Parts: sequence; C-alpha cells; structure tokens
Amino acid sequence: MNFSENLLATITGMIRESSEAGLIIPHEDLFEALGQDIILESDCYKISFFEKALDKILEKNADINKLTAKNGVSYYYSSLSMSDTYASILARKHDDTLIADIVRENSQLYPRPVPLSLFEHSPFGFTREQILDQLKRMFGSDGFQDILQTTTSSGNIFLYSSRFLDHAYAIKMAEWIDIGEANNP
Amino acid sequence: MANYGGWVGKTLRVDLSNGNISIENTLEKYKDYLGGTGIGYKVLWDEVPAGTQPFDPVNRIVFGVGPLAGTGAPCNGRTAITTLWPTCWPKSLVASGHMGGNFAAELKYAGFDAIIIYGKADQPVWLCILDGKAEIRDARNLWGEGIRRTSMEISRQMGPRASVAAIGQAGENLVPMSVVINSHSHSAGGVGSVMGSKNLKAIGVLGTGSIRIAGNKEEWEKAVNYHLSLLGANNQHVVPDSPQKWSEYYGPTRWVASPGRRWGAASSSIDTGSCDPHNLNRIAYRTNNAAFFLGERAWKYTVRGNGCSSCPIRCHTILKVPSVSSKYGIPEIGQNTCVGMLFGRNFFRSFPDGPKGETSIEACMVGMSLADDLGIWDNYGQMQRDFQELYYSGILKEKVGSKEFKSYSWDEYEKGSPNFLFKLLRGIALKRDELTTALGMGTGYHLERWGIPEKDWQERPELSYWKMGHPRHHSSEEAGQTGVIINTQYNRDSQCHSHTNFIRNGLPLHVQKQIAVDIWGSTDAIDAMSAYSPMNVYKAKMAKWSILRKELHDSLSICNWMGPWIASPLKEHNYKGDDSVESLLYSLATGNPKSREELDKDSERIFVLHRALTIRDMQTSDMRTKHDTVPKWIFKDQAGKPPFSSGSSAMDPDDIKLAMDMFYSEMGWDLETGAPRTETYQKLGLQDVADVFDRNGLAVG
Ligand code: SF4
Repeated sequence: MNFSENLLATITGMIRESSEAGLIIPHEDLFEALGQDIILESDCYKISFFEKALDKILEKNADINKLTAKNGVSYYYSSLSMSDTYASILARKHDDTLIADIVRENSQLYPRPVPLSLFEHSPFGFTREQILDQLKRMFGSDGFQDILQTTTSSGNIFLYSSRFLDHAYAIKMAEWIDIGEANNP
Repeated sequence: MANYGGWVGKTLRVDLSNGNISIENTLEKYKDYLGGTGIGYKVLWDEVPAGTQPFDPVNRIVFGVGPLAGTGAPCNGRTAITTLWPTCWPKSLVASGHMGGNFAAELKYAGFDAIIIYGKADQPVWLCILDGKAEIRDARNLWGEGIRRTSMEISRQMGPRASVAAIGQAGENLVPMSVVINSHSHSAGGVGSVMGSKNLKAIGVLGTGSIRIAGNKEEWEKAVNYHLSLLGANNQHVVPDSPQKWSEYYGPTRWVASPGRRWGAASSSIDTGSCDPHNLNRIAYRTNNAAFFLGERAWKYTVRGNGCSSCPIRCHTILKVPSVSSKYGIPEIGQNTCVGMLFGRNFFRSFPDGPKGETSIEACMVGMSLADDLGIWDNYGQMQRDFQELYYSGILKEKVGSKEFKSYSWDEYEKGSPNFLFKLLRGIALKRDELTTALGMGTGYHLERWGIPEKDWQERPELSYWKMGHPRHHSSEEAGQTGVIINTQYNRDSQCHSHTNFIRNGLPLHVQKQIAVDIWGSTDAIDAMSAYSPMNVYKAKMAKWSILRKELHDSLSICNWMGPWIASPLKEHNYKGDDSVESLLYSLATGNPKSREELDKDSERIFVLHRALTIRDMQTSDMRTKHDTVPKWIFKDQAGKPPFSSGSSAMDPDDIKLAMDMFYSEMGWDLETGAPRTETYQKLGLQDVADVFDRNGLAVG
C-alpha cells in the first residue's frame, strides 16, 4: 500500500505538536482530523488504510509511540517532547486503577511512598474528595490489598504498596519526605 | 611568576590596631591553597598561635574567594570566612562560614582575592575597598544600627552597586551566635562577633575591574554552557517534584516549578511552567524554596528567586506578604533560603492554623526581618531546637528566675504568635537578660552555663545535636555511615552537601547506584535511605570524596549547596553529570591546567591543613577519641528497629568504629589516633606542618 509522504508527515506533525503541548492524541482524534483527506470509496477501507499509515509512522519514526489504555483506546505521542512516564499517566487518567498503579510504580522504582497530595496536582488534577473516594473503593476490594496508607506526624497521608515496601520503611520514608526533608535543609 | 587568569593576584592585609593596610601577592603565598577556605586555613596556621581566643586581636578573620569568583562559571558567588570559631565548645577551634550574594565577585572586581583582618580598632570602623585601594573609615555613626541601615548608608557613600558585608547589633555586642550579611540575606554564621571584637562594623567593596580568563574565549563559553546543562534545581536535585511532560522521573525535590504554579506576587503573575532541562533560559524558574519549605500557600506570595552572582538557581526566594507590615510593622518584602527562611517559624511548636498556614509564613517573615537586621545566627536551627526543649521541659523557667520568666508572654508563644519573636530576638542581640544571653552563646556554652551535661543533648535524636556545640548536618539519618564520618570531621556543623545533594537528587536508587559505580567504584557506596547495609570501603571513599569536594568548592568559590555535579537532569546521559567540571573550569580560567586528580590533591592539602590546625589547637593528636566523636542517638532508631533493618536509621557501634578505620585508611591517616601521619603531610607539601608537629610532640609515625 502506498502512502503519500504528505499524509505521513501531516500525521506525524500532529502527534509531535500535541506532545509539545503536553497532550497525548487519541487515535480517534487523528482519524477525525485526517480521515476526510483520505479519498477512498468505503469508510471501512479508509479505516484500515489509516491504521496502516499509523503503523508505518511508528515503524519509521523512533520518537513516535503508541499506548493502549485499558478501555482499548490507543494514544500517540512523541518522545521528542514527552516522556513515556508522562504519556502513560495521561493514558491512564480515566482508569480507576491509576492511583494504585502510580503507588506501586513509586514503591518499586524509587523506592518510596507517595503523598496523597501528589494526585491533586498536574497532571492528575483530582480533588481531595475524588482521591478519598477512590481510596475507599480500593481499600475494600480485591486486587488492591497491597495498597496501604500511613499517616505522618503532621497528619498527612502517604500511600505505598506492600508488594515492594515493608511497613517500617514506608513509615520512615513518609515521615522523612513530609517533615524530615524540610527540617534538614 | 606566570601570568595566571582567574585570580586577580592581590591579597589585602589590614591591621586594625594601627591602621596599617598592605597588599601582598596572592599567588606567591597561596596558590597551592587555591583561595577561599584554603587561604583561610593557611593564614591561621601561619599567623595565629595555638591558644589564641576568637576575640583576641591576634585572631585573624579571613575573607577568601577563589579563582572562579566573579567569572561566568555558574554558582560562583561564595565567600569563605575563616577564623577561630566562637561557638566551638569547649574550646574555640578553626572553622569557616560561607556567604553568597555579590560580595565575592565585587571583591575580585575591586582587585582582591582575599582580605586578612586582624588587630582591633580603637573605635568602630568600616573598611572601604574601592578599585584596588582600601581605607579604614569611621563607623561610630553606624554602631548600634542594624544591618539594613548600615548597608544602605555605606551604599549611599560608595554607590548603589557596592556590596556591603555588615554585622548587626548581635555582632557588636559579641554575641557568639551572630552573622555577617551581604546582599540582604546572604549570611555567614558564627563570625559576626569576631568582626565586632575588632570594632569592624562592615566591609564595603566596589570595583570596576574584571577577571581575565586565561583560556580561549570560545572554549570558556562552551565550558560554562556545558556546566549550565548539568545543573538541576537547588541542591542539584535533578528531577521535578511532580510528573512533567519531559521528565521520566519525579520525586520530592526542590525542583518545584510546574505549569500552573505561579510567582503570584510578581508585578504580573508568572507561570513557572514546564522547565525542560535543555532550555537553559528557564533554570531560574525551577527552584522556589519558599514553596518547598512553606508549602503551596507560599506561591501566591512569591515575587521571584534571588541569589548569588552568576548563579541561575536563585535559591533565596523573595516573598511579598502585605499583611505583615500592618500587623507587625516590618517590611512586606523578605528573602532567604533554608534555615534563614525558617528562622522565626522554628521557634514555635505549633501555629493556630497549622504548620503551613498563614501564621507560619508570618513567623518566617518576622524572623527574617529581625534576624537579618540584628545579625543573629541560628546554628542550622539548633538555637530554635534548644529553645523549644528548654521551654517545654521546664528548664528555662527554672534557670532564668521567676521575674525574668514572667516578663515574657508565654501565652503568646504557645499560641504561635509571631509577636513573641520581637522581644526574644532583640534580647539575643543585646544580651538583655539571662535567657537571651545564654541562647546567644551557642549550645555548648549555653548548656555549660546552665549546668546541663552535653551528653543529655547527645542522647536525643529529635534535638539533632552532634558535638562541640553544633548539630548534625546531613548525617546518618540520610546518608548512613558516610554521613556519620563527614559529621565527625569539622569544628562546627559540617556544612558538607556533596553527599546529600546526590542522595536526595530524586533519581531512582538503581540509577543512583549506576552513577556510584563510576565515582566510588561500586553500587555498594550508597543504600536506600534508612535501609543501610554494613560499612564497606566504597562508603569510606564516598566520605573522602564528599569532604574533598566541599573543600574544593569552598576554595574555588563555587557553591557546595549545588555541587558536585555527578548527576544531571539529562536522560540522554543516563542522568550522569561530570566529576571533572571543576577542573575544566579551573584550568580554563587560570591557564594552569589541572586534572580532576590534581585538584583533588589540592583539596586534600587544604582539608589536612584544617585537620592539622585542629590537632595543634587541641594540643592532642588523638583525634579519634577526643575529636571524631559521635552522639549516642545515632545508635538508636526512633521506632526501636535494629541497625541494618529496613526503615531503621540506627547505626551499630562496632560498624562505626570500622567506618572510621576505613576512612582513616583512605585518607592515609594513623588508624589508632585518626591523625595524619608525617608522610601524609610531606606527600601533600605540608612539610612545615610535619616539622612543627615533630618539634612539639604531636607528630604521628
Ligand atoms: S544555589 Fe543559592 S546559595 Fe548557591 S550560588 Fe546559587 S543562589 Fe547562591
């Protein structure tokens, strides 16, 4: 199948531009913006043509990446201006497991617990009520038994995953991040 | 003598007793000591006899800057002030304080690498240094005035570009807990009273000169830009504190800029935005230490960052809090960083609206306004910890007597009212009563005065007290044995940031460990914080490297609150920085090419001279048991967990003995005493030290 260079460049440009603006771009938005430019007889053929064009773009441009969210939506971003970490947070923004995922990632990777307040800021942007609601649901259900919380001496809640951190370490690090760091400048 | 760049080549010598001012060649005498603390230690070794007290006229106070001060090298605005330390207990020993601001650069532009001051003027004076000339001027009209008015008056005489380093009433009144300050908030703790003892109110410097860069101009610019590309936020934190579109990692760091976080009190509110590390024009937006220390609320009061010459980090955040001028009668603008910013707040246990509410910010504003005008030092927060402990334990009430106790409004204090600070801080500067006189002496002398054994403080982790009148400064709580070793070595709080800047940089542990292999030879050099492994030789190497880099920075005049730059925000470099950026800049600036190893040897000479001064003035070579001591609290974990268990910061006594052995061994020092051996002095070009110790019985094999 032949793709015009122009089409490939236009799609690639759109992905890069949206990443530059701090957004990942869903497949659907790309198709909506460009689908009508693809003059072919049937819509069905048009879709498969478009899919193949995207595959070609992924193959030819090392910076262009695709992420598929739990609900099946595919997103595209360019690693020239967006990290995998950031893109994966954006792609999971509407997953009800996002908070648990982030807690587990932090516990495993750094390793450290995270303050509840992390989820109030960009790029999460949840309200305190939304976070507490999600936690309530999580704490009572299967699949989240490893997500635990500890409260620091100034009353702030930190979350961690017991798969990766033991309780003593989580308590110590939460206290350090919340109070120790500022007291030991 | 070769025509070096970097240094301006002249050192100013001022004898205040007879008014003699002379100039000597910096390089002839001090080139092997680079500048800064290096010059300071050398002058104290050569000119201040053992047994001298800090306020004796023969004591020297040395304002030393290095070959990078005043150049375009990033973060170069540091002045090291070395003298006999008045709060070092039970005996004053050598130490140095470090101030940023514009003083270092201006001193070079005025034609000097250092000022050596001694003697005592017979009436208050200030030192005017203007384009290669110095003059002692009458300061009787300034005596009794605060630092702000003094600086303004001298600037009025010298011109608005002058940099003025002044003491306040605390220094004048020989309060050991006193500072000298330049550029509004850049202070060096502990030395104000030494200036006061010499009747020296201030030093004003102004110059129109420049600093010659010996190397090729393009190469120099390339080196400066390369160094800038390695910078993180303050404390060389290399990842942002929240997920950002360009960033692979995030963590609890001082890189607090983010889209939507705004300098709310700037003339038109400014979004700090996404600070991609490749955009060098946005470095100054990364750090906001008011927001880091005081919380989200501080953003709306932020005007911008301020800082030292040639430093894009601007870690002294300027705050504008209009309510404080009507409520407390103080200026609505204040600026500072770290403990300077928290000075007022840290006296209180709680505030009516919580630890990060409005009242806490007001307490910071009142504290900064008073302390930075009266010129009070807080010994890295120890003064406030002592105060809280003494009050809440009832000791304070018992010691000051009921009349004095009742003269303070303790209700106001317990309610967290910043009004309480006015009487207390003015009292400290004026030595007004027993409480304030005692607090102003520094912890060691204060405890002695009130009959409290030092060991009582050394058992309490929450007091953070280490030894000899001073607190811990990045010790076992965050850096295990490495932190312990570093904290044993100085005669004040250690002020070393080489290790902590790396450990707290925000990168995942596995990335840090990869960098550790390059620098110290093994992933085992570092552990996760509070999950420590037993001592190993790589931790000893890290301790040695950390101390030598601190001395190097303090001698070149670059900021150890930023360096070293072994990690960077650059993913394409696997977050590695460069361990030899100092030697690159030094070599180009001076035209005296030195490798990283050669510069490390210079720093070792400087640090070992500090050790020799300590040995000479303590009159013992037994550093191991008489000097390099640790407080008992390091062996206890607050949650009762044993050493080497996850979540425990407790150290093990035998392991710490091993740590000291390994460190002494890395340094080439005697294991039994912890003193450098004669051959170590010789190897470092310190034959004169070896000779003196040979004569007076302090030499070690
Ligand atoms: S980081 Fe702060 S203290 Fe260090 S040079 Fe920069 S502004 Fe000065």
